[in-house]
Amino acid sequence: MWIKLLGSGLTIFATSWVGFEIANHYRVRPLYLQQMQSCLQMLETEINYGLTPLPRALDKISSIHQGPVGDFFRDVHQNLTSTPGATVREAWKKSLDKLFAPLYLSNADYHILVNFGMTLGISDRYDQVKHLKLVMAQMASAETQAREAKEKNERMYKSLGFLSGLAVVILLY
Amino acid sequence: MNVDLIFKIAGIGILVSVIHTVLKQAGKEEQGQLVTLAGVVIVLMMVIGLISQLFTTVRDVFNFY
Repeated sequence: MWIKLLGSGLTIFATSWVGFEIANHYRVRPLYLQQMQSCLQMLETEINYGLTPLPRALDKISSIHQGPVGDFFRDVHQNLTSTPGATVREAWKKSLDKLFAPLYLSNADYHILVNFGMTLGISDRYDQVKHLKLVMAQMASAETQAREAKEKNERMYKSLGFLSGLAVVILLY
Repeated sequence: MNVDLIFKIAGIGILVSVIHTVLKQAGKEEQGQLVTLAGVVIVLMMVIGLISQLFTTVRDVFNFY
């Protein structure tokens, strides 16, 4: 009797957890995309008005932003400064590959950012600003899409996780 | 008469209706219908033995062969 109840509780707990994890994915993604945009905005300011060298600009951004987005810029900074002769393109891609999962990026975002990394730091500031504007617009549209997906799916997965656990318990009890 | 089975079926009914509502709100009507169908099939599986029992009883009572 008690073991049965305990098992039922564990089943519901496990499926609810899975549901919450999936919902969390939808909840967090727009936030990170938004943070990424504000980081890129800062980078634009640093490049256009501050004329800051890229490693120092990256360090500055990473010191302000917390969470995976800040980690990403910190990681790029580390890759750039720790290995002699490292190019921005390699450092950017390496960090992106490393932090792909915690940033909850989609494949489309990944390609946008990789393409942006190829142009970062190789031309004058007017050209850089153009590329930054482009990637920010793309991030903004990705964010709107992510928000729509969140509205649609977050609550559903939360309740569905719990309810599927309940279904299993009722069927097997 | 087994009352547990009735409660079980009632539970499945409530659950299926709630899942259907949740999926409908999320704009996934097809999946909602699929869940309803699955619920019907599961309940049918549970009661099919009892239905056949009922038929044999009726046949025995009225001596149909």
